[in-house]
Amino acid sequence: MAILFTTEGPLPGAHPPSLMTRFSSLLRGFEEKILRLIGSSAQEKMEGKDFLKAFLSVQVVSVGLCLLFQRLQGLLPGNHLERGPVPWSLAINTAISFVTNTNWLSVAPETTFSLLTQIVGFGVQQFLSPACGLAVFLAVTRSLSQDQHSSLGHFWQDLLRSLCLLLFLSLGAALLLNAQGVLQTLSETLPFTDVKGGLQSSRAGPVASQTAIQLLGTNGGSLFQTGAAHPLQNPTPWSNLTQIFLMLLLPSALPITYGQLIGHPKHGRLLFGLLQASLLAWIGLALGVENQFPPSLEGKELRFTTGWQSLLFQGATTFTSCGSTNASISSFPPLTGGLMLANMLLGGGLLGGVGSGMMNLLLFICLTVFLGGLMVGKAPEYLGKKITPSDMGWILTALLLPSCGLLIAACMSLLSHQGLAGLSEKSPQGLFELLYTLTSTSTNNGSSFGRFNADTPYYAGLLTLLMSLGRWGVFIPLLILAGDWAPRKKVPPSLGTLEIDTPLFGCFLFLVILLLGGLTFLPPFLLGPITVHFLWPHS
Amino acid sequence: MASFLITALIPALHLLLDSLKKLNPLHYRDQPVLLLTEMGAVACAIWLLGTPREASPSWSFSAHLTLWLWLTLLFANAAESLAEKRGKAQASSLKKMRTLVPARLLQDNGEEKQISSGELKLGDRILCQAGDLIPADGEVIEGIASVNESAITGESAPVIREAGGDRSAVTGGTLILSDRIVVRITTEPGKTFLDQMIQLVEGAKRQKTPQEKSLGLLLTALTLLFVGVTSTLKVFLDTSFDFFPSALPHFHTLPVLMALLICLIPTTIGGLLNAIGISGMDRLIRKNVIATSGRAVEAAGDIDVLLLDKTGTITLGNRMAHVFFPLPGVSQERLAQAAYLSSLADETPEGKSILQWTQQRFGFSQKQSDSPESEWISFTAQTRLSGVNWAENGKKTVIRKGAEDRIQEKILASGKRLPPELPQLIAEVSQKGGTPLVVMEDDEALGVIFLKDIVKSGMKERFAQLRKMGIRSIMITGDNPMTAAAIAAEAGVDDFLAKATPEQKLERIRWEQQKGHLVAMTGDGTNDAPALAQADVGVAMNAGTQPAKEAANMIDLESNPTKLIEIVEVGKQLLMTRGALTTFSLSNDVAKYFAILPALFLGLYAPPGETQGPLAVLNIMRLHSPQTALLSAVMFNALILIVLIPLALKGVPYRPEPASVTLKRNLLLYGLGGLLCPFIGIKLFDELLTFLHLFEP
Repeated sequence: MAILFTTEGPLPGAHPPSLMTRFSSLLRGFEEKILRLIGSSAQEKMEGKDFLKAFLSVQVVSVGLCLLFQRLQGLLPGNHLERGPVPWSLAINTAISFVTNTNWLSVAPETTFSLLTQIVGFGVQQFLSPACGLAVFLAVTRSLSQDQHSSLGHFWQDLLRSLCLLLFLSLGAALLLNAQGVLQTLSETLPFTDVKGGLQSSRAGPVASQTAIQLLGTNGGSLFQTGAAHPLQNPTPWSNLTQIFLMLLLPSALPITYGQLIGHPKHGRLLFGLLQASLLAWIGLALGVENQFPPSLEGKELRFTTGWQSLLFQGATTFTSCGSTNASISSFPPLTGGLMLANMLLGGGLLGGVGSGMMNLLLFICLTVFLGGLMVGKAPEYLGKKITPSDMGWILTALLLPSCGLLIAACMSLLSHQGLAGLSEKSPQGLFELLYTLTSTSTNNGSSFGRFNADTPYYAGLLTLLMSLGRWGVFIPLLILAGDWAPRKKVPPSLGTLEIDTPLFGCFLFLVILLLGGLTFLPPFLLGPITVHFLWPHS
Repeated sequence: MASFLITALIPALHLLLDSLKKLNPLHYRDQPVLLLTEMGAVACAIWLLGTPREASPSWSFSAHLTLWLWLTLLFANAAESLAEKRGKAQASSLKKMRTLVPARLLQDNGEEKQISSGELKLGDRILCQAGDLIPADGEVIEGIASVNESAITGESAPVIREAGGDRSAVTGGTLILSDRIVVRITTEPGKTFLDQMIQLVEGAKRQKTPQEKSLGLLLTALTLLFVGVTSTLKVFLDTSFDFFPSALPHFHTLPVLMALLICLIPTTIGGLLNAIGISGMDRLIRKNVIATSGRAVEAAGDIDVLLLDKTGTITLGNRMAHVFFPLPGVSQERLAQAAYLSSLADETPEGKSILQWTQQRFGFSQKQSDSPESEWISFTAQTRLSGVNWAENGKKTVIRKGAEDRIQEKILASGKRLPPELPQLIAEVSQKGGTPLVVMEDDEALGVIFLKDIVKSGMKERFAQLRKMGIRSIMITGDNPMTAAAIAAEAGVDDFLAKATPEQKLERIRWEQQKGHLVAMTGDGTNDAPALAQADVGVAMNAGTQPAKEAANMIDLESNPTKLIEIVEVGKQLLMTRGALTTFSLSNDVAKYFAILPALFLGLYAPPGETQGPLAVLNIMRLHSPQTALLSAVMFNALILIVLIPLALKGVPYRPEPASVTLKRNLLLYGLGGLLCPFIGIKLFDELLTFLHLFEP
């Protein structure tokens, strides 16, 4: 396990710039052709506004395409099970869910969507949404690394290269998973003989290739409702470990990449160390909690040994914003479930999604640098870029808007009949489920909890809003910030400059994340999971 | 005893009245944290009035909470009043100086006319004589006078003000001690330096600095966040009580929720923010620096390059004769004799130092009056030489002493050749950091006088301190590069700019700024004005010229160039105090949560027959009752303001040390301290309230 955690970051993270350039030198001709096809050239550089426009246009087209596939799936091929058009509210919810990298599903996918909708309609988004995250990551990184240069790079080029990277990685991952027994077929059903000798059939599809990108892109949208607990998607303990590794791979690597691209590798290594240390601490804590209570095997897959692999998977899925699950979260002791919720509440999963995780972390870094800069008596700056009042406005908007949205959504749901209807029971457990659902969507995680019923027009609308706020409420302010940062002069460091590569800074950053998340969410957290824990017969 | 009580009571009453006056909501229009606190306190008061005493068992308890909310506001107001008080005392003494004084207006026809200083207009010429108060700011255009400027500088030694040069500015309200001068009025009434100073010390002109704005945004955002947290908490609580109806009394009444909200929002920093800003400016004023903008003070904390003028800053203004180098074939005594005679008519300190040197070594004692038939040529800035056409026994000797180029020109003009050793001697003197003066007699060079720049004592330590603060010092001088290098090495500056013209100074500042540095510049001359305006922080000497003072954004009344170190300290302290108190305020919230939330959750999900639900275990401080817990938290929140007022007024101490050391100390003190201290404080208040039996369960 130690090898797994220590290699995942540095392996692809250490040489991403060279990897990317070498990669693209192979495909440069191809890249140029594609760019010419969309009427663009790699030479023209985009400023903040153009970059934002290009990014938003991809989002709008993506939502449109997802909607089309869902509404027209009855008329399209690849629909042997004859699924009809998806109702509008659900279709919009699912479209936004896949475009925002949440991949939340309010319904069982195998009984709602045709295979074509799943592997083409949604499958494209599984690539596109992390690629968009990477493109935004690259733009913001450039704005911080360059000195008085207003260009953020070229969105289409970044997107194309990110897509190539994801395709390349997921090809390898799919082969690996397939070799471990994960199903890969184009047929929609798989007949099998059950223990009584009767003939049954299961929903099937290109599971290995879908799972690969679902994990690598921290998407989480599975072909099956049961996700990674489905034997066709996750047959053995080894495939389970492989999947954990794939989930953590890119979010762990990006801090190292970030450090290299901003020309401050030590800062990147500090962030990497901080995130991995907190992940390990979380696992230690969760295992400690888990072992305090009599082992519960209900709702967990015994294929993955007795529980610890399930816990590890759940930890990874909430620590990143993947959202793929291999066990029922309500089967864990309430405290462990609470720890998973806490993971998401603290900065949307510290590792977060591909690109988006680093962006969330960047917001916290800016806040820490602001407080730290003041405390050492120097006008706050990050990487030599002064933090102005207008920056502070955008940083705070991106940091607090999703949190406030989440709290307000929770209140609205508790105050309305439609909202209360989603709760499985009117108890702290119900509150816990509601909180988990809202957090999972607003942090673009996508994992779901227990018997919460989100398949109502009310929740379709509310969750759509939360997912949009959690994604675009962070990305749009950040791209505006990047546009402002890029042309700004870099202040050279001096003796009085706050050091951002020391363990002290790491601790400070961690405390700021803990403090802000804690102060915002402690009351509902206490009334939800913690109360459930106290009322639980085992405690 | 009674009189002692009265003397102690009157300021306290003033403070109370002032704090009460500041409760006006308009006063809080820029302070959202305090505005919200006031709104909360008003809402609680209305709730108390609308709720009959008998109807709610917690009425008297709620009244206590409300009282403490109001006290929180009063304490914050008192902090601001205390900060303003010191400035106000200074302003009132300054205002006394602003009274109308008679002025002697010089009319175009040359006649004098007595008018009041209030009638003076821009460009008027006035006559001032010994014993007069100068009626308005102006520039000396004629004459020289000694002036007592202690009223604005606090320095009792009189200063010389004379026409032309860099010492020509006079300030309204200062007293002429000797001689008479003609002054041209350079400012309109009501906009004089004194008026500006009064406005500054009264805090009327204080604008928000960029960091204050950023911090203000952060505090506003946190305030909004906590409004969301508290109002949603009510919904969460209501729902939870609906889930599991219980007969136990609830605590989440309006005053309790308001108390929670006020405890959570950053009242500590929000309440002291103005006091920090005002006292920062005040600290500068007490160091005799007038900053025309708060932005410049804040920028001062950030500068990393400092440009200073050599003369009068790094070195004593006067160069002294150090060594005499005769040319081959000339005796030391002959050179000294010629130097002595040529310096008799030289009134400059350099000339006087030559006289002193030669008198001490050779005992020369001639005076100008000894030889009335001789023609004396005094030193001027234009000719840059002095001397005498010595007449003795009918024989005339032309003796001159002056700048190397001037004397060389004279010798060459006479058709003679320069001795080959002369340039060598000149170069030698320059290399050693001296200024060479050449002495000639009848078109023949005799030798070179080594004028040495005397570096002020303690400069090396000062620059070392600046270096520790992360500030690079650059010396500007009109000297040649060799001289400059020698002095720079002796003074311990990091870099120098030799043969500097005003354009070059400006260019250098722009170049440093282009590289991202924040540049401070100290100067006094008119030719410094463009550079002072271009620098991020321009400190003009009060003794300097009017253009320099107008171009700068700070004026040092004591005209002490290394004052910048203190200005930087004040700038840094301002930021540090704000940062430290923000961190303190935020970490305080953890303990307040652990005091208030268990009180709110106490009866929730309590099994039948029991008074405490499972969430009572959150009461890790073991507070006695929900009432004492809530009240202790609110009391701590209010009283911590009083405890922190001295810190806000004095500022977090700054030491020149690497940022990591400062961060570590301040994080421990204000981060960890902020985390732990309310746990202790709230527990103590809880014990006290329980001991007093204020609220029986």
